[in-house]
Amino acid sequence: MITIVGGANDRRVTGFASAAAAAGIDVTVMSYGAVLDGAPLPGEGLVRIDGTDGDDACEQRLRGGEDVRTSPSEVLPFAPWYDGLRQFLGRVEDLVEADRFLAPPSDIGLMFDKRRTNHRLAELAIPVAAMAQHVPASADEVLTVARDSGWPRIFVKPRFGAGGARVASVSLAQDDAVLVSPTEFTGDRIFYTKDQRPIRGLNAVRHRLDRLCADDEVVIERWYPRATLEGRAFDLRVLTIAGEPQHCVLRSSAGGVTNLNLGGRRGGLEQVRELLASSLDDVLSTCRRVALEAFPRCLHLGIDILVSADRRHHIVGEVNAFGDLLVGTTHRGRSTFEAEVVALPSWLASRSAFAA
Amino acid sequence: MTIGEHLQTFDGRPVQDWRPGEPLPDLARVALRVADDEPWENSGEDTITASLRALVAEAGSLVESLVIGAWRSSFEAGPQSVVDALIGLAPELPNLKAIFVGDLTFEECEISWMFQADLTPLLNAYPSLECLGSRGTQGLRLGPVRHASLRSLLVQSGGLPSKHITEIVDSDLPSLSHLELWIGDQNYGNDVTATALKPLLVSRSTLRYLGLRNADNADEIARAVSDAPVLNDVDVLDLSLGTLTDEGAEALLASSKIRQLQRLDLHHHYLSDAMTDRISGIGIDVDVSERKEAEVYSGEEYRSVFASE
Repeated sequence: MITIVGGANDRRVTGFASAAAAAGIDVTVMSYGAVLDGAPLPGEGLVRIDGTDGDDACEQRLRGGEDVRTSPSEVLPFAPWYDGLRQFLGRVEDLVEADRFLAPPSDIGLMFDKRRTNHRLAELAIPVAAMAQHVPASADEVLTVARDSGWPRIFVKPRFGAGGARVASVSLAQDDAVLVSPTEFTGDRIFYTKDQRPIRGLNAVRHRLDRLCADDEVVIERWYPRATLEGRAFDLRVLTIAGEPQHCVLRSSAGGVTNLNLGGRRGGLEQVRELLASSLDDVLSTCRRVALEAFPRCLHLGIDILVSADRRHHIVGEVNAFGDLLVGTTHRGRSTFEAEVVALPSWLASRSAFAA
Repeated sequence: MTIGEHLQTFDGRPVQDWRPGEPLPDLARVALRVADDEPWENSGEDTITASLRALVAEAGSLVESLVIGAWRSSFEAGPQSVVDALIGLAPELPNLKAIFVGDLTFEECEISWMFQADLTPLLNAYPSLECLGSRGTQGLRLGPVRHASLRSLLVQSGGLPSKHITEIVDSDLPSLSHLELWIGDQNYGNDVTATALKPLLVSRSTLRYLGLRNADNADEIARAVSDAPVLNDVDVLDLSLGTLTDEGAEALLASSKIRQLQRLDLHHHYLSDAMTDRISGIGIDVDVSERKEAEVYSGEEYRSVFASE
């Protein structure tokens, strides 16, 4: 038996639930809200924590307070949401024995913290983007850190959260700067937009960076030029299941910030194999290390891989706890969720902790 | 829009990446592309010079066409060290006919941001060079120079300073048959007015192809070129990749010289359907593919060139 905690309409929840049910596994879905209201989780069986995509009420509940957004495209600061998520994860962790999770709540929390994830991977000598230690309070500090680090191009990202909203790439010259972000800055509010036209000029860029720094703790990463295909930059999403890379998709965008939910297109493993040739083996071995060394207690991980322009170098971008929604992508004939279900018994056996 | 891919062909040859240790393709057929082996390093010396030396040692006299890709820290500095290395290797590259400097995608460096070098000494070091191409114009110099062999000159820019027109006008290029300039966006340094262009558009008996491409003042350029003496010489006029509208096309239609061309390339344009039909019907080969629509923001129309940022 498996209990899924997540949004009833989240496509990961429904996708995994139907794959499990098809394999004859009993599935119960519980909302975050029910858990937060004190509803008991089943005393046995496995627990999969999922996302809450499309469940605005739940997102709001994690934030606490009223929905203050003026439109669905408004992107609120992530810090209050992350506080709520951490409390929720802590609660679930208290309610369930550690060996019943398909991914430990603490790992899920960690993956939504870019600074700690970067640190964990870097400590294991897994290739990641260089990240500044300093927490900048203002645009000037961002620019100073970039210059002092010798990084002419950087990404400024909210430390917590996921996705491309509130992420900005910044290019710096002596007396000039260009910022690209899927973010529209209107008054004191921030909206998500697909229009990623560059904002040029030091003052204009400073103004936007000040806004991003004021709303959230941000991290500064060095920006790495990526490989392109058919005029677009691409990166890879590799899904590891039980430590083994399985599904792999190529995601591309013409804009500065690549992300699947920013209108990226997809290609499959065959295309990736053709593009990367022998470098693919290195990529897959990095993914194995992320899974086995950094997050060994997670059944699956969605690992984002950035590939250099000559397609011979790579780094790990983000590691996504909820990264297994790759619609239409199969590996050995199985969808992501089917492959997870198939891998489950041996994964549990290898942990020698099958409690269900 | 931007440069999203490395060159697939250069001066009519397919481009192939190469680094030391890899087998060499048929060098009479292929342009070799050499780039830094450590594209994510931002300090130290790049590997291009070492690769060029290895190439020269292996097959220097067979090399005919080279494409230089991203160099170390190309986001902050021009390819001076690569240009210097090429100049130093000139005696060992006796058959080098074509060089492209700066094959970088927007991911490696935006075209408007790219730094270049003074390429005049490179031309002087290779008196039998036939084709020179470059991308990016910050720090670029192109002469004036006297070069008897140069048949093709390609300058790709997101915003071309008109001083490069002057450098070309003041140069002596008696073999030049292909001149291709990417004019770019006025917000990124394009100050190529009709007046600036005029001395370039005089009669040039050797010229067969004139490209004034990627211009955000394409209408002004179309007007300037439409009745220029140079049109008596060229077979192909290429005004593609820019923001040409009906206004510029009217000027072309009104010209007595346009119909003497073999080919008029206008692809990537902002012409109306009616104008597209009219200009296609002038009895020569006209490329009006890739029609674009102006974008409207806050009541203002925006038209963009192929590559500007």
